[in-house]
Amino acid sequence: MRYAFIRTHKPVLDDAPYRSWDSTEEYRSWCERNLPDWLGYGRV
Amino acid sequence: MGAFEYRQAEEIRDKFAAHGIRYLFLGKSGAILLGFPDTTQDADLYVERTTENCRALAVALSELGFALTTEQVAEVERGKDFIQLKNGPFDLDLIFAPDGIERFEDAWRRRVDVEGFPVTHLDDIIASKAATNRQKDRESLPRLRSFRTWWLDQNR
Repeated sequence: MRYAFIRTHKPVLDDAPYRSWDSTEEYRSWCERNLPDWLGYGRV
Repeated sequence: MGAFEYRQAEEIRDKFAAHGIRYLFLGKSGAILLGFPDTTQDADLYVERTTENCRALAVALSELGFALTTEQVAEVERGKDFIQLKNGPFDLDLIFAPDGIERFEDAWRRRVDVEGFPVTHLDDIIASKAATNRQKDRESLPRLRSFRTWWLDQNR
């Protein structure tokens, strides 16, 4: 597990130093509206 | 913002322990700490939402090098449901109300200790990922469930 943490840039998601949401549902919805599909944050 | 590395998980563990913070590694970072062979880029922390715990958390984050504004400190202190930090030495998601887990106390009781890391039980990690129903979680779940069978057998 020592080497399991890696870094790649995730567009949009990594482009702000701080974000917060009043509910986890708001966070999920924000991800669906704003992140590229290929990041996999959309619900199926 | 920067890459999250194992030694930074150790920094979190040691700093949070020094402040007596009740939290759990959740998500893939938690699964990896349990031995799941995969990679991740940040850490998801499930934090108990009590006034004292959240205040200690804000102090600990500052000591770790997170540059929080007064307003952001206030959000941490009140335990806003989901906070994403990329303004420190590594990326961190603070989750006070994860999908699929009803109460922190229940998850805390089921936690697993790995080298001093408090980790959410694999069943709770799986329940949380199943509840989100995201594409990336759907991709991980079959292998996580298979790992669970092996892991439970090893920890009998």
